[in-house]
Amino acid sequence: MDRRIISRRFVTSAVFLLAVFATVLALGNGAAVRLTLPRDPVTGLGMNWTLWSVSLVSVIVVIVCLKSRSLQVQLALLLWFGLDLVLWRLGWAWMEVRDPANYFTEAARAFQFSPAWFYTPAAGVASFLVLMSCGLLVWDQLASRREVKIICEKCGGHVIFSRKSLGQQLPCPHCGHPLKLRRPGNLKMSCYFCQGHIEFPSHALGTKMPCPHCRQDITLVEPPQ
Amino acid sequence: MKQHTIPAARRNWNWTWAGGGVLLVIAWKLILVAVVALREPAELAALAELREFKQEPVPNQANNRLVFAQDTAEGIGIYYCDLASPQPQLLGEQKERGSRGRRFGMLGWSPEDKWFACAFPDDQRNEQWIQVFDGQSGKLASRLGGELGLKQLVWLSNEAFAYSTETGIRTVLRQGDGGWAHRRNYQNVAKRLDDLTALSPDVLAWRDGQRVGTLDVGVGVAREIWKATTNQLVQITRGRNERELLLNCQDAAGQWLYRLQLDGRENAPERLYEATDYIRDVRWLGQGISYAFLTNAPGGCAFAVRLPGADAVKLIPWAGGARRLTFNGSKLFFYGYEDGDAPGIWGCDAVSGEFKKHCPAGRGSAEPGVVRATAGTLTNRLGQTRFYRLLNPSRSGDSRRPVLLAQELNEWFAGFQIAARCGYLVAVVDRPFEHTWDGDLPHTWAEDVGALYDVVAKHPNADTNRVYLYACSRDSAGLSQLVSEQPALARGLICYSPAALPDPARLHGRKLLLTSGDSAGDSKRLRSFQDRAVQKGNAVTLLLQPGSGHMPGSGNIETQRARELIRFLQAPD
Repeated sequence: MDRRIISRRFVTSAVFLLAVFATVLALGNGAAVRLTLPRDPVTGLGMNWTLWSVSLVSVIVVIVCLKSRSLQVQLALLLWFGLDLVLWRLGWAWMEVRDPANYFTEAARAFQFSPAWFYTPAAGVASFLVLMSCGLLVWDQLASRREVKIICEKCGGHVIFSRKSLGQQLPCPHCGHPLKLRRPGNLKMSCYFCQGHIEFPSHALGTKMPCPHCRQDITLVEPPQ
Repeated sequence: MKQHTIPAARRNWNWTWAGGGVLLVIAWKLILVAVVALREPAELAALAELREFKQEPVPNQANNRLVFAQDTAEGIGIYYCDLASPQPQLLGEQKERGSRGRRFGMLGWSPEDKWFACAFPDDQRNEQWIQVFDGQSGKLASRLGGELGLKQLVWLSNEAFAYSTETGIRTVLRQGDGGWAHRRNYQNVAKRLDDLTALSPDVLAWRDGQRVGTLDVGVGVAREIWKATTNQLVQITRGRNERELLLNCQDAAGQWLYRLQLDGRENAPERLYEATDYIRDVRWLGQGISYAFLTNAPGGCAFAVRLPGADAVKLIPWAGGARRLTFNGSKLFFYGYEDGDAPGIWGCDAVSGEFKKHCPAGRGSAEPGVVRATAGTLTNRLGQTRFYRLLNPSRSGDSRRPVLLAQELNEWFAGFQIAARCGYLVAVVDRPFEHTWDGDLPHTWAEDVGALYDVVAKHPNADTNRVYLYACSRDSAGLSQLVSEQPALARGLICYSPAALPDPARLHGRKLLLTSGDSAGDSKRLRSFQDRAVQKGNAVTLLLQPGSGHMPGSGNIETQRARELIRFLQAPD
């Protein structure tokens, strides 16, 4: 399966899980509002404030993931949030907390769960975020070296293809315009009239414009191989 | 070739998933709320809503009207009740003020039932008001500003009453215009004035620690008339206009009732009755030798009554719990409950032994579902005999159930019924009465409840892996001792206003419910304990109730505690 489809599905599932996570924390914390919760040994704040904060940050992460069009940003954000949760857990271990589930007793009770049944899936979500986002980012980094990204000169749509396909001509997946798969970067040609050097982006192919040197009208064409 | 842009449709799909996650949780929570609401029987909710009675009910001379105190939603109210009419009338209310507020005082009925009066502290304006009501109609007749430190009130006649502060006494007389005014102020007549009583229209008596003092308000001379030397004086009481007192004393051997006659034989009290323990709420009627008190019995408790002219004490058994006994003529009034029934104010004809419920505690439409108790006897680890009560919820069949163990006086406590309704096997061992006052005798909570555990562990329905202990206030010291001695005994602890807490280092994997008022001054200690106990691997639920003191002073606070108890008991392990 394509790694980008996997990444996108991961982001979708992460967004879903974080939405669930944030809502459960908020509702669970809200149900315990009349109670005094223990202080978080890492932050020193009451667990109610800590849980409100975690819930709020989860919501922000979800919104940024939904708004962002960059998979790398989404994955990096999810990795950051997952690592925060893991570091929080390690902080508890450092503070010799024997059973972290007990910090979620009241939130769990709001959903008729035992603390352990509540805490274990939450820890699973954090692990899932860290492992998947980290793995996908590394995979993306490695794979991006073997890929080329260009812009369709007709519609401006982004098209990514394997380096093996360089030189092939195919219709643009967005607009159907015939598209030649070439290396990204500017093309170079000489003016018909003054032989002056002209450099232009590939999506400007076919554009009529005055030569920057002799001001004669020229058409930007693909340079000969 | 592959395309790798993010189509708009896919982005919308992500929004759908995120929104779906939120809606899923909200729907799940709503379903849970609905299921809990449907599953919780109305009887359980009614139990949590029951209003506690405070202080003792005060009957008039004719025993056909009562003044009593009961929790209102936001405080404590004083009610006037004509026993012929079922609906009590609220005379006044003191809002819950935590430990900062003062409690109202009950003056009761004047001779011939002409007046009755109560003292209402007004904490907002730092004033104390004594309100005098018409004895026939229950309407407010007059109001008088009293001293802020007012403790107890007592009628001297229809036209005069007196009240005590910590160390002094003031008298109040009725004026020609129908109002009331302070007359005399006797300061520093005692170090600590308790059990103020009128021996005659001119003579007041009180307990000052181990001493009994009197004051002749005509000449203004206070004197000590008796001092406990070989035992401890717990309580004094008197009959109306009788120049004698009944002394309730205690020593290591048990409890003793003495009659102290003030005419010539002050220093030679006559011993009337003795018991090993459990002489509570002694009321002296006079009229020869006539008195009543509350004691315990295997099937609940009993009223010990010596009627005028009788040679011996008559025991009237009561299958249930009782407290705050008053004795008037041949009639007893008390707060209590009959086994299987909700509490209320009961009356008992001491001659016929017939009981009648006058004012139920519940004001709602739903009847609280009360589980019946079975009684038993056990021997604690010190070799002392104790009675215990077992509430076994019948709906649970033969299955094993969690167990709640406690030690309490045989009085109504909604928490035990709530636990039974939640499917717990509840066992309560009688607390010796000597533990309820400021005696120096050692408490036996750990020994009694430890022995109770040994008994209940043999019960076929008891799940000994899920044993919970309950203690309130000073009893939590015994609970801590038991947890320290037998750390594996209890799965959970329930402590109301705990005076002592177990060492968190000795706890692991326990469930704890701690409640207290945030005005009680122990919030910091409880929060610190909670932090340490959770860090050691225990689930601690801490309820600090705003505006409340060491003990609850309003119906809402009681209900909040009860609701948290239900939530705690029903929570999954």
